[in-house]
Amino acid sequence: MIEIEKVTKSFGPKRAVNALSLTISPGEFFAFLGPNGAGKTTTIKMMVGLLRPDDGAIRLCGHDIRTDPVAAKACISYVPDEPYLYDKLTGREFLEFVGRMYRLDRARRDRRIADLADRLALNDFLDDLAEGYSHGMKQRVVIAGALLHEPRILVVDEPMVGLDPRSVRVVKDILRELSRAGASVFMSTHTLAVAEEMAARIGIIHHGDLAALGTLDDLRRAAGGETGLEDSFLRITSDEEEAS
Amino acid sequence: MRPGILLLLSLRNRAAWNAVCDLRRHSRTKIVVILLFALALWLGLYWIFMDGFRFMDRGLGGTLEGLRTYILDVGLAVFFLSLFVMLAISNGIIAYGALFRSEETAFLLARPLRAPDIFAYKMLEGILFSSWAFFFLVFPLVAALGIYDRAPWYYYPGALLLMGGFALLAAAAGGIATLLVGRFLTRSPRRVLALLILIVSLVAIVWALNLIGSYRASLDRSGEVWMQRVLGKLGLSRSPLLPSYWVSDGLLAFARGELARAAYRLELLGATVLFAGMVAVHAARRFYLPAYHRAQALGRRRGTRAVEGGYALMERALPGMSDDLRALIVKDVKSFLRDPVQWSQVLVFFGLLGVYFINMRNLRYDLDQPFWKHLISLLNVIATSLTLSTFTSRFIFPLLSLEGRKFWILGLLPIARRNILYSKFWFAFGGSFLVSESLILLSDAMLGLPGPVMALHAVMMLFVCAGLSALAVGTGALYPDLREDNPSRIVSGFGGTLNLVLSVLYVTLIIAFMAVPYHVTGMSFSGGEGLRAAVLPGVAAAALVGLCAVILPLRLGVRAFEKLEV
Repeated sequence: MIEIEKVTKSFGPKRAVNALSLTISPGEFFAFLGPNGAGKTTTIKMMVGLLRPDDGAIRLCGHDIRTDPVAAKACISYVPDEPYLYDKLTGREFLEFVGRMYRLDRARRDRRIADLADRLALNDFLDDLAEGYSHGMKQRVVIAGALLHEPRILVVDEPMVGLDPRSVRVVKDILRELSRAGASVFMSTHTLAVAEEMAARIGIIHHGDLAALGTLDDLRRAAGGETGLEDSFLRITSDEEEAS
Repeated sequence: MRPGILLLLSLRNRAAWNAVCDLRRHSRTKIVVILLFALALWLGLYWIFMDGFRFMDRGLGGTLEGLRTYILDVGLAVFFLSLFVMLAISNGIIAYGALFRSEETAFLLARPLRAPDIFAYKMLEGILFSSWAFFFLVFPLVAALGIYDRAPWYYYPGALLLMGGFALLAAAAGGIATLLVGRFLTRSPRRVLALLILIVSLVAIVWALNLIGSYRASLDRSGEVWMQRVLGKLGLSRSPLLPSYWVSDGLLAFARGELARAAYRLELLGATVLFAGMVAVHAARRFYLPAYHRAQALGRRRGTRAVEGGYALMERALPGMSDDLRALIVKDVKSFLRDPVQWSQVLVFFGLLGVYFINMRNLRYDLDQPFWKHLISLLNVIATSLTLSTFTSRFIFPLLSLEGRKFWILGLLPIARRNILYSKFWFAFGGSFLVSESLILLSDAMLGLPGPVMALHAVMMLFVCAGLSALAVGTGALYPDLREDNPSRIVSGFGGTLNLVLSVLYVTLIIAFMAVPYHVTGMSFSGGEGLRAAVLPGVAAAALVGLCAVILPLRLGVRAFEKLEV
């Protein structure tokens, strides 16, 4: 479970996130949308402990990320928008390293690596050094690393960017399964079709404020009509801009 | 050691092992060339140290044995004190990038690892990067001292422990300083780090001026008196509170077989290293995460309107260049000036040279015999040229590699790729020429050297700057590392090492052709035909070498750069 409570973050005079409150239940698939610079990545970075809120609290599986960071991070996984791998490690060595960080025993680690390598089609290159991987290959290995310890919370930032259509389908299936198995999935994306297709609930952040929150139907109503997510998104965010 | 640190170190070992295995892909010639260069450099340093010891023995052996010992004590203490300051600063700079700006750190901090473990891992990694040059420099010294003094066998393991402790302590000092700066100072840690470097340099300058004053005051006394005065001032480096002195004193004690004193110094150093390590871990536990968060939240400010106006003026003032070339040069100037860690290092080293040159009249070098004036001016030329070669290696060579992930921006521009390379050459040449030419003319003016000598030096610096800039840009294009965004790592690769070695060779050749004939003959000639006969062939030879050093690397670099696929 993710609990974000009145979280605020400023960079100098600019308020990036303003008193944001959100709760994502176990098993919920949540999509986090917003224009560029709206505060999505700042929120995610605060959730995973890379930024500290100026005010408010974030609890992951009941652990405060500020006061109990190691326990909070043990139950979460994060897939950043720019995949990071060690150039001089092979994909397999990277996954083994990640497994050891989450203290998976050898048998479970090997089983999970084999399973994920099959599902994400990593076997052809998993034993090559990562320096030769394409963006999509790196992204698949990073996603495998994030799923390795079967996290109770998964935070993904633009997970489909750089993936081929088959991999996109596989990743979607995996995320759905994870959510069905009881994990909270928090996905930040600009691909509205993916959010529309997968998310049970959607939040739209704009100028650091949570401009809209609810199911797709709630957002349509908030946008004032029976439109798709794209129209709702544009209306909600443009209304805000005019108001400001 | 904590399991988290062990896990991270095992990861680093694995990556290092893979990198070593990956060397097989590189040409054997390349590896052999690197090893041979390293060996030659090592042997060269060993020879210089041995010759220094012999020189001291010749001059001060026998009746002045006590003075020889004292000079050696003071010399080593000053050497290790300077190294300690430089190593601590270098560690601080590397630690800043590794702790607050690296992608790996962000990756690790989002995992269930303790922040102090990540700090310790990053510091250990930083020690390797910052200390290899120290070990490379100090091992020939240790070997020369041990062999020359016929040190007992335990001198060598003892020296190794002392050097290891020294490097660890400098790293801990740099790391703690970076952490405190990141946590408590409100400005950008990078700017504050630059400020700290400037403050340390200022202290060094004040100390140097004090030393000069003391030297000047005792000039009219006997040689022994002024020597004692000067050594007395340098005695600060032998303060029993300075860890650098424990190392130099411990080293000499080991060499002289004074085991009890050596062991005492080693214990003192060991205990301090452990204490500093403990302080660093406690500081990391309390301050690392808050400092990291603060560093991520800092805004990036543009320069003032006056500075921006300065850039515009510079762009207009660049003569005879196309618009795109000027825009590229100004981009590099802006990137350089907006990175305080880069410009502060240049300012410190050339600033120190400048302060020394300005004070040469205080040292009364201008009143010296022509022999000494010529020798001093030659040494100044050598010092400036070699300093310049380290800076072109450190800052110009990695310029192209640092375009790295942004390379598509330059790659897609509707301009000839060669112009990108030429812009970097002009940037390097313009900057280095401005600084080094001013310094050399200042030095000659302070020494009261005649106009023709100043002109000779001016032309020589022109050759030096053009050649060094072209070498750095050319080898940078021949051996780019577009994946790496850490300049220290780019510089420590094959291309960087090759560039440094070629730069030193080039400087040696130019000085040998141009400066040495004049300075050797200049002591006996007063000008006229003899002088011209001694100098002109050298100038012609240097011009030829200079032209080759500019044209060849740039041509090869352009060819490689035009074929470069990203």
